[in-house]
Amino acid sequence: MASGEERRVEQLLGRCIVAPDGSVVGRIEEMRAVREGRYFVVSEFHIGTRALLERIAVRHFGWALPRRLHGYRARWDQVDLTDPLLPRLRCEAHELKKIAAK
Amino acid sequence: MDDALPLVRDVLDKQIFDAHDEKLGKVDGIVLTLRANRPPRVAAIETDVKTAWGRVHPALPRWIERVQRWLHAEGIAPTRIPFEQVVRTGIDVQVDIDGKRTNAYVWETWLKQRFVDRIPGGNRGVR
Amino acid sequence: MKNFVKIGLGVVTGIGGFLDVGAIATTALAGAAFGFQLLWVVLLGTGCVILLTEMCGRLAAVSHHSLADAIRERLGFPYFSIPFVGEFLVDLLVLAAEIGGVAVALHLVTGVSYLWFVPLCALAVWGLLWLGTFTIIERGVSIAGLITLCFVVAACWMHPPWAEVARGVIPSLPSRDGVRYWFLAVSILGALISPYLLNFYATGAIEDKWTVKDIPVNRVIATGGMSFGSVIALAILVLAAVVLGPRGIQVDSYEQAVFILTRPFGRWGLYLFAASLGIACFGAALQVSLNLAYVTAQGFGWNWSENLKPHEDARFAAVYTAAVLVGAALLFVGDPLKLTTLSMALNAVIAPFIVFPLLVIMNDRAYLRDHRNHAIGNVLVAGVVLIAFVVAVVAIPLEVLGG
Repeated sequence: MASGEERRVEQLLGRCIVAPDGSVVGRIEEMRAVREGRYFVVSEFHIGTRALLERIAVRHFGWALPRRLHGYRARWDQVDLTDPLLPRLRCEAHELKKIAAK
Repeated sequence: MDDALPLVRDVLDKQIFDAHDEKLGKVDGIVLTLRANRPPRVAAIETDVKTAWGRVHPALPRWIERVQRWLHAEGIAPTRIPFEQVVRTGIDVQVDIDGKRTNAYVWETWLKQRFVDRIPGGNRGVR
Repeated sequence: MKNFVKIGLGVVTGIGGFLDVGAIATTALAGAAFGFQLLWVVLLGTGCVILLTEMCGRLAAVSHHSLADAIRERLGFPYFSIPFVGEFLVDLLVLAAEIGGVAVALHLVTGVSYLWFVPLCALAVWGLLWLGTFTIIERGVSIAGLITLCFVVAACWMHPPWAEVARGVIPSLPSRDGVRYWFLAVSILGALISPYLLNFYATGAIEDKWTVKDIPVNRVIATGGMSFGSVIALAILVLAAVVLGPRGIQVDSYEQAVFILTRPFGRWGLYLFAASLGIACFGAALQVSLNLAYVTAQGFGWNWSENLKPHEDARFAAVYTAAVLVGAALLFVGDPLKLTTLSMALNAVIAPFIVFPLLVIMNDRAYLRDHRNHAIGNVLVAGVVLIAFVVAVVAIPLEVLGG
């Protein structure tokens, strides 16, 4: 991807992210940033329904959610943002860390 | 518990306050800069009505542009604040700049001059 | 003393938000058509509103954020745009209905067509917003709104069959004209669970600078203020059932609704009805136009406060000015009573989009800290969301079939 190009968090939010085999892993629901000197850099992308629920922090209704709901944490280097309309994984889906059910 | 900043939860859509605790708008957008073989940098936050409505449908910013042209107010750029100026996040975002030095109040000023200050009581009310 | 004054917010929200032209019209219609059978709907709506306003007040007191702020900030602009656009359009209709209510009140005492009074009423609403402060509006409407107690006095004076009244409190199925019965039930709920009432209450708490210490008082105010409005609404329904129902008078216009006070009070009843309708609608018009400006300013992060001069929050002032102009203009194309029943049905359609976010927001530690909902509170809110959703789905078909 071209260095210096801009991407926008609000446009990436909710976009489906696809694995190398073309399957849809889930939607980008959160991006986490960490400090690097005086700047912040994106460290992780959180993907899937559990990521959405983690973001809106639904309390007391966790018991009602099926355990099969999925959520993944992808490191910045595991995500290719060359095409902002179609983010892709640089690894297989099974290599992603899962977001645990609470 | 990691200390990473959740950009969507704690920055996007939050109320921006400037260094004087004046409201500057909401965080309508967050700009990332891609870097080769390095993590994307969080470059800036943006507040602009076209940016906000563009998230609902891509055609809406064009309609807003048409309204702005009709009002002879086209070409007002989004207000972009470098992310290094963000000093606090959470349910609000505070930035370390004077909002009056940005273009965030262009519409406020336009309405004051064209409308509010021409009506009795706009500046001389009972308060 | 400070807490007593704070009750003013509850009363003004109760009068303007709860007891407005919609509540007056729908309860009068309900009493005339079905006697005491729909009393339970008013009580159900009251319970829902007390629950929701208490939460909105708590949110504002702890986080100093309004409901509109929190919906945008927690659920994002794309979600926020749905209730924002819906509430904006419906509130314009409601505002037209409220300004129309004031104009009709003047028509009732003068005999002059209400349309002549529309520009005057609109100017009065706008003038008070432009020159007044939130405190003046809050206290003025609270005190003036006490005149609506005349409905309660009249209802007791008429000696209604209290046993039948008590039976009306228990939910029942209609014995006839089921479509119209449920249309009125939905309209009453739409009139009572007004989205604008919730954000106005939360914003009012911020204008009044509530803090965590005001949480216990908030419970009293939410309960007392909404109950005040509810008692008046119940009294109107009882009066309509006793005075209009036996005579087969269906309320097709406000002139017919006047009978509910002229019967007990004679000619004074006309003036009391006009004063009550006028003041309740004036208060509601102030609230709705302010809320339109609040929701817009809060949604886009502008400076806002009715306690600031228009020069200090020009965009906020411009929104309520434009809203009053459009609201007044709508009255030249629509009948006030029809605008009222339409706007109440549309209120019911957008209510779930505004009530559902409370399930998320009231459990957010960042906003509520140690004052988040308990599990029971969440179950109750979920119940209200379900009721709001069911009402939203049936509101428009019933409006078409039974309205």
